[in-house]
Amino acid sequence: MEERNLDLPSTYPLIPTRDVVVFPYMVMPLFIGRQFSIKAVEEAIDNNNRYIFLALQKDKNIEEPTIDDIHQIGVVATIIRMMKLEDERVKILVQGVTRGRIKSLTKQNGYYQVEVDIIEDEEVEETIEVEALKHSTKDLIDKAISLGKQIIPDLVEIIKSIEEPGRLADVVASVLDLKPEEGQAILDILDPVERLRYVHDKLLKEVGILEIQHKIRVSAREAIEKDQREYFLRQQIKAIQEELGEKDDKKEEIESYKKKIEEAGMPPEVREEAEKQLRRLERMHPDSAEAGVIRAYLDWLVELPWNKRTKDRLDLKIAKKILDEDHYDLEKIKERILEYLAVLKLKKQKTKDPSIKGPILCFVGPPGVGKTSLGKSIAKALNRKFVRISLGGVRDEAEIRGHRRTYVGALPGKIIQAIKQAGTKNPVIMLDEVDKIGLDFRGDPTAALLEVLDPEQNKEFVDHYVGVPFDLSEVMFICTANRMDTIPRPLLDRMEVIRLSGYSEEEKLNIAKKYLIPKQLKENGLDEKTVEFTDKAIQFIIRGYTREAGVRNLERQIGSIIRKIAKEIVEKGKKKKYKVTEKLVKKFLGAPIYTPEKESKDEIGVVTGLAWTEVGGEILKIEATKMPGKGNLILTGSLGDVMKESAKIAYSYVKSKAEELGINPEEFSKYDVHVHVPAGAIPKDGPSAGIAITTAIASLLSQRPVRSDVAMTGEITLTGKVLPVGGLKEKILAAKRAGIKNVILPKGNKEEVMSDLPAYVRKSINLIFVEHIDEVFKIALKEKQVEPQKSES
Amino acid sequence: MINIEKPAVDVLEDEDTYIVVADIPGVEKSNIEILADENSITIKAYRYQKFKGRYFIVERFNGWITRKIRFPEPINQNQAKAHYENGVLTVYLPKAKNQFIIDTCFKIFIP
Repeated sequence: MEERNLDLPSTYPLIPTRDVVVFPYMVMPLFIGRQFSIKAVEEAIDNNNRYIFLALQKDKNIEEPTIDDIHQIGVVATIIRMMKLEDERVKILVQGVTRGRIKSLTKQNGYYQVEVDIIEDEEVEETIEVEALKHSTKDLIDKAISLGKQIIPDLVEIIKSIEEPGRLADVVASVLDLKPEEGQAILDILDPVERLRYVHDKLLKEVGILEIQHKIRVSAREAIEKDQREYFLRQQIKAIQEELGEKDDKKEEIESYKKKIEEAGMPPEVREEAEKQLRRLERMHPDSAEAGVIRAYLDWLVELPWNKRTKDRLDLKIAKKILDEDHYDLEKIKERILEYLAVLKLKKQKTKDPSIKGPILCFVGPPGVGKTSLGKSIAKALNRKFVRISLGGVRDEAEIRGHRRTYVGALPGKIIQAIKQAGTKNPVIMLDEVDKIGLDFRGDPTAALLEVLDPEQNKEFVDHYVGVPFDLSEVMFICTANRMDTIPRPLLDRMEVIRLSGYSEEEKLNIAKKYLIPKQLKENGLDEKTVEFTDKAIQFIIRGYTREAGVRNLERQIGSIIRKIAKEIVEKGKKKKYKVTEKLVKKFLGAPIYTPEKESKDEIGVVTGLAWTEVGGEILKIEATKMPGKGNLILTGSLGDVMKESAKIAYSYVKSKAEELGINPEEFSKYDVHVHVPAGAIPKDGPSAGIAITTAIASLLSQRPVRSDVAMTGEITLTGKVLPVGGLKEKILAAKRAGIKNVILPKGNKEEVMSDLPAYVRKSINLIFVEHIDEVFKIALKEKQVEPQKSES
Repeated sequence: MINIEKPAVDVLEDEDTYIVVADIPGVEKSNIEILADENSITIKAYRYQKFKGRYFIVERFNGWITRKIRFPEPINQNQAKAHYENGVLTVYLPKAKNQFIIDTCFKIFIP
């Protein structure tokens, strides 16, 4: 009984393998399908002590191989287990025993029988190289395992314990990832050291591949692990917060936004956008900067009144009552507003269309005449919300239309802000001071306003910040301005201009009594029972302490008196009734700031002109004088180009009509004429002083004095015609304030003046309408006198 | 090493004896050999294929069955006893205690 397999037989049943090489010592399952191989297995178990010979076929597609189709070197193997499968195939578990070389092949009883020379590995001399090779191979196996190669631990132990290089090579070869040809190549190497060297190289290559694979795997895993770690920590924080009874803020916030979006009544496209942003917010860390931006945006979206409106009150009677309560007179304007409401009412009844597709109202007039408060009254009459946007000094388009959300601190434009402030989608929005919109490199705000004010376009107004269209068509826009000439044309084109001129003294008196005094009393904690103003006192305030078209200063002065009374009452503790008289006004306000114009003399070369300014009308004393010279015309007083031309026309006209006016033509070459319009520091322009300058020059050269109780306005042409001018109501009121009795006006303005001017003003002042300058001369110039005398006035 | 099976064994001890129990079924008693030295025994057996014919399944092992067992203390192989019954081999090995028996290749007889 001997342990070694020296008693191996010399013939074996052959199993030609097609895609696998079995090495000595290697255990491997094989599936046998071919009949001759099955027969060989049966023969081996029955008669050959379970020994079999395995050899690789050179071409796996050959079904019936001959000796030339099989590699010569193969392996003697023992069948450990065998099982016949249901599909006629046989599964065997074999273990390689030793190499063998096929000497001859015969086919018998349906299987191949081979005669084999057993090849035992030669004894090898243990050189340093062999030793090193063995160590290196074993180390490489360790490395391969550490890099994830799967080798049964028992086998690793065996490999570690193997000392013979040939055997080490064979066992290691069995764990390598080899193609059949490569395996056969190892089998073919009979020199053990050579074989180990070859296997070592193969192993090295495999370890290299494993290293790269490992690197890829590790980097992928690191990325995943980092994410997982973060997620895990987040979950922990959440769990801790829940444990501490702190609510999940984020979830709550998202829920509240969801609810708000639900309630906001947005149009579908806006709602879609809002929900999209909400989903983004949900995915975001609540403390990130971007989340803050989205939150702010969502706040805007949900707070805009997408579907909220006040119900219009289109009752003309109530509207008229409200307008009358708030504003004195202004009949024409009130009429216009009521027309507007009437149209709106009819339209609504007919078409059910709530949008206002009418012209935008624009109130133009001096400060303090009640433009803004008129807007408020309209809103009140209509039962709409009122919002005021001041456009004075707005230079940036973005102030109207908003900034893009990408910018830090971005906000919607003034329009959307106003809508939010109003809380309804149909407020009255007052665009104050449209004439004072600036313009610079940041874009033109008026261009943005065009879109806002155009009823055809503003149904889908897109603010840069909001990014979704908002319907402005139900908004009633009202603009105010002090002057029209600085309003851009296209903007003016969309508006219906309603002029509010200044108030006359009588009007102011009434306004003071009806509105200003009760208002100031109320504001200062007094009532009409304690303080009473006499009409004379009010008139005294108007004349002596104010000079304006509106009533702002008047209100301030009244307020000032009332405050002083209030102080006195508190200080002295007595509750007597105050009657404000002229004397009391003087006591409280000091000496009058403006004294009534003194009765002025009729002078040569001094004419009273009339000017229109932003703050109402004013009178201008135009002066002319002559001095030795060469007939030059000198103009001073900050005159604009148009006014300078106007003066030249005047001079030329007088020159051309010298004889008719009784002027010596030589005067023109002997003297220079100087025209000055005080006050010198205030810029003046326009053609309306034409006839006044002409009269001044004519008076100067003809030495005929000008009546100081006559004021005049009108443009002059070279042929002496008088052309119509603007701002007449203010000018006439200014003349009246200055105590002038006669006003010369162009005939072309007659109709306008007659309809605009209140009857009592027309009655108290003598209006003279002229077509030609000659008529002016007739009225304004007195006969030449040897010595200037005091006029009879 | 090829074509060799290791039988499953239990080894237990009491005060002065080691007992080795090994499953070696399907073997003629005459085909079992136990060799002992001062602190180990080696069991060797050979199993022949029982039947000739066409096999459907082959799982049982045929060939050399060997197993070497080492003990922490020396044994007195002279006093060893073995006994084989129903495919189970039991070997009783008294501990050598103070006596020391120098390496010999001693065959334990199986009665």
